Amino acid sequence: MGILEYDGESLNWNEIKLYAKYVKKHGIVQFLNNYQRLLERPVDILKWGDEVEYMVIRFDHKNRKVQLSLRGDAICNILQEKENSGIVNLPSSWRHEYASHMLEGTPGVPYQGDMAQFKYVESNMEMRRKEIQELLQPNEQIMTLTAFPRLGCFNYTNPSYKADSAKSNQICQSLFIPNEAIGSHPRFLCLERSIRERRGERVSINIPIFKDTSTPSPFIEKFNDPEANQAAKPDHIYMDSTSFGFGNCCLQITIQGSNMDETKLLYDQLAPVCPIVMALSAAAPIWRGYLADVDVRWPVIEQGVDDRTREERGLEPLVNNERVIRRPRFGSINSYLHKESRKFNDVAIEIDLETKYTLLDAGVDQLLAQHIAHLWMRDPLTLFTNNIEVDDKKVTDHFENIQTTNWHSLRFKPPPPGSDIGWRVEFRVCEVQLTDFENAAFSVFVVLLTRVILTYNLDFCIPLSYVHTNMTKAQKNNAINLEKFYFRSNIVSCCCRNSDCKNHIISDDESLTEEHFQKMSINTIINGKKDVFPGFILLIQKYLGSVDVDIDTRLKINEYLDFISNRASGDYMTAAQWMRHFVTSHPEYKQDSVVSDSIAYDLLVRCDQIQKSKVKCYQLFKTAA
Amino acid sequence: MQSCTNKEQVIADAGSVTIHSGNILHKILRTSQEICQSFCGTVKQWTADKSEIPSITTQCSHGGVFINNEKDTEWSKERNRDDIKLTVKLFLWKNDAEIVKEAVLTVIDYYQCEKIDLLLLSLPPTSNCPHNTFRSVKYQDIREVWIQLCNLAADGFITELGVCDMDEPSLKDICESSDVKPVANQINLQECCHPPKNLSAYASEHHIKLLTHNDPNDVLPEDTLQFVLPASDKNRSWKACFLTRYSAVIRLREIVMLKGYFLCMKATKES
Repeated sequence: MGILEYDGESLNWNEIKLYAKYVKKHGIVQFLNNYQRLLERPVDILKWGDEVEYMVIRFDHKNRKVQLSLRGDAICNILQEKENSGIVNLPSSWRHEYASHMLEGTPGVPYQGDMAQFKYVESNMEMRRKEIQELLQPNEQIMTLTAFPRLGCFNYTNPSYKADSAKSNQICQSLFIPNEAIGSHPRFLCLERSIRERRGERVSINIPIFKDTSTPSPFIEKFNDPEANQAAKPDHIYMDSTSFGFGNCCLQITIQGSNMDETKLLYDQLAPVCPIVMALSAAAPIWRGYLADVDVRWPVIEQGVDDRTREERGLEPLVNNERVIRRPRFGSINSYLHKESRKFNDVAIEIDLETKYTLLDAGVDQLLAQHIAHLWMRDPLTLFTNNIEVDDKKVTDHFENIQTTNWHSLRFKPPPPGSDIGWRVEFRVCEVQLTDFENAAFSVFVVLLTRVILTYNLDFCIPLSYVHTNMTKAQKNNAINLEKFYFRSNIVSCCCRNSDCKNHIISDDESLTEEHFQKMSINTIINGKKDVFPGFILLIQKYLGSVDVDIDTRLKINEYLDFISNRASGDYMTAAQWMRHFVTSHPEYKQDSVVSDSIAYDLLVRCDQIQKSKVKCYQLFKTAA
Repeated sequence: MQSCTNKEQVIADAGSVTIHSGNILHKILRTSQEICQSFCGTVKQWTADKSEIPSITTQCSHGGVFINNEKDTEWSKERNRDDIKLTVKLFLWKNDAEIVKEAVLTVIDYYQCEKIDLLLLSLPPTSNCPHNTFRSVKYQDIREVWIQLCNLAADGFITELGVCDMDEPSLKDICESSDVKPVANQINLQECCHPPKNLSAYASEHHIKLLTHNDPNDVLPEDTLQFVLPASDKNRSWKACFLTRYSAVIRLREIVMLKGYFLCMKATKES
C-alpha cells in the first residue's frame, strides 16, 4: 500500500500541515513533467497482476483461542531478502502492510497478455502461501481472511499488548488496538497519527450490529471513555482506529491498458462492475467479536480513514476549514474519466481549483484535470524530512503522496518515471477469499471481463450516482441474494466508440431511461436472463470461443467461471454468509450476535482446514481436484 | 458489369457462390446459432442493394459469384501485421486439394493480409462414427489435402498448420508420415471434459497444442444451408464446398478484432 521508500524522520500532522501546499504543488509539477513524455508513449501490451494480502494467526489449541500473530513484519523482512539483494525476475514479490499481523504478496513478474498465462495464476498464489508457511512458528498459520473476527477484542494479539487510549499516546489512541499492532514501517504509524490529528479526534467507525433474537435492543456498549460513549451509536459496533480498516486483507488486481485512452475506458467500464464484485466476494461479517449487519470491509475502512474535521463534516460552522467535504477519502470513484461517459458524471465533487487550472493550462483534458483536482483536495498525511525537497523531473514522490492517500474503488495510475510500466487501472474492491482457487477465479474473471469489454465495445456506464447507490447496497448482509442493483441493459452500444456515429443508442443530450438501465439481481448480471441481460458469463464464453486457448487453460477458466456463476445463483455461499451460518449454528452461540473466543477458534480452525484442502466445504465451492 | 436488378438471376445462373458473412463479432452476441446467424439476411441484403456487382476478382478465380456486403474493413487500421494473429478453421466436405487452395486464398485476398498465421483443418466426418467427435483418419486418405497445405505454407501463405478432432493414432500417423507436423489439434470441449490420456501424452511429447472448439459434427446442416441460400428452382441445389471461419486477434492484448465466415457452395443439377 502506497510508497514505502522514505528518508529521514516522519513529521507529525502539525508539521505536515505547513508543507501541504508545497507537496500538492510539486505533485502536480511532477505529474506534468511526466505527462508530456507519456502522451507519446507507444502502445503497450496487456500486463496484469494480483496483490493478495495475508494475515498471520496463532492458535492456542489447549485453550481454544485464536489470536493475530504480530510477526507479519518480521516474516516480510525475511521474504524480501532476495529482492533486496538485487535478484530480479523472482517468482514472487513482498510488501509490508499497515498492520503488523499482515503482509502482501504479488507475482514477481506481471502476467502478460497471452491466454496461456491464466493457468499459472493459482499456482503462483499457492507458491506464495508456501513461502510464508516455511517461516511460520508452530501453531502459527497463514490465512487470506478479510477480517479477523476478534480484531480489537481483549488479548487478540500474540504477543499480547494493552491498548492505550490516553491522549498522551502519540501513535494509536484506541480503546482496542495497541500501538504494537500497527506495522513498524514509519509510513503506517504516521498515517494512524495524522488521520487522528488532522481530524481532531479519534476516528469513529459505527457498523450496524446484526440483531438476533437475544441481542440486547437497543445494543449499547458502555466504555470507560467519554469520547467513545459519545461517538458510539446504539445498535452499532463501535471501533475507534484506522487499524480496524487497514488491518483487513483484500485482493487487488492491476491491469495495464494499451494507452491512456484505453486505460480511462477500462476505468470507466469497471466502475459499475465494482459493486457487483464486492457483493460476490463478500467475506467480512464479523467485527470486534460481533456479527454485523454488513458482509464486507468497505464501510469500516471508509469510516476508519476519515480525516475530515468536524467543520468539514458539517457538524460545526466553518472557521478553520475552507469548506464542507461530502465524502471521506476512501470510497467509490467520484467521476468517470473517458469522454464517452462524461454525460454520466452526476455526482457533485469538491475540487482544488488552482490545481484544475494549472492542469488545464498545461493541456490536460477537462475530465482528467477535474479528477486530479478532486484528489488534490486532500492534504498529505505522511511526510519525511529528507523527502521534502526532491528533483521534480526525476521522481514523483509528491504526486504519489496524494494519489495513494486517496483510496477509491479504482485507481487510475500514470506510468512512473524511469520504468517500462504503462498506464494502469487498479481494481480495489475485491475481498480476499479463503482459498487460492477462489482468489485466482476472481482475478481471472476481472481480467477476462476487460478483454470482453474491449472486444465487443461494451458499455456498462450509468450515472455515477447509481453506482454509488449500488456500492451501498453491495455492503449489506446477503446483498448477493437479496439486493437488486442498477445495471445497464443495453450494453452493446455500437460497433465502434466514435461519438459521431449515428448508431449510438444514447446520444449526449438524451437522458438515460428505464429501457437503458434497470434493477437486476446479481444472478441476472452474471448468469443472464432471457430478454433482459446476456450475463457476464455468456459474454466471456463467447469471447473464449473466438481466441485460441489451449485445453488446460480453458478447463481452468471454465472452473473459475462455474464458481462465479454458482456464487451468483446462490448455489454456493459467499464466505460472509458461510461464516454467519457457521456462527449461528455453533452450539455455543447464544443468539446474541456475540462471536466468542471459542466460536472464533472453531471458525478459524475450519477456515484453515478449508484453505489447506483438508476439508471440502461444498457450500463454498466444488472443484474438479 | 452486370445489371443490378438481376442479382437473383446472377445467383441462379452461377456455377458457384462464395458468401462472406462480414465481421460478425457483434451480430452473434445474443445467439448460440453462430453460423446460421452470421449469414442471416446476408444474401437478401446483397440482392436488395442497388449498387453494381464488381467485376470478377481474384477471389472468384473459379468463376463464381462473390456475395459480400461489407464496405470497408477493420483490418490493419494502423497496425503491424505482426501484431495480429489470424487463425482460420477450414471445414471441408470432400478431401479435395484444389478446394483447399481456393479457401485459403479467398481469405488472404479479401483482407490483403499476406498470410494466415494458423490454419486448422477440419475434415468431413467419417460416416462410420457420426456422433463420435474424434476422427479416426489415415494419413493416406488426406495426403493430397495435407500436401497442398504444406505447399501453401512453403509459399508463405500459411505460417502454422493444425488439425481438428484427431484421435491419438490419427495424429501419430500424420506426424510420422509428413515432414510438416501439425502444431495444434483442436478438439471439442463439450464432448470430453478431459482429453483422453494417450492424446494428451502424445501431444505434450511432440509439442502439439491441444486447442478447443465448440462446433458440432455437422457444422452446416441442410436446413441452415437452405436458410442461407435457398435453391431457386427444383432442378438445382446447392452443395457446400468449403466453410472457413476466421478470427483476427491482437497479439498480447488478446482483443478480438474480427470474426467471420466465408461459405462456398457449388450448384449441382438434380437428376
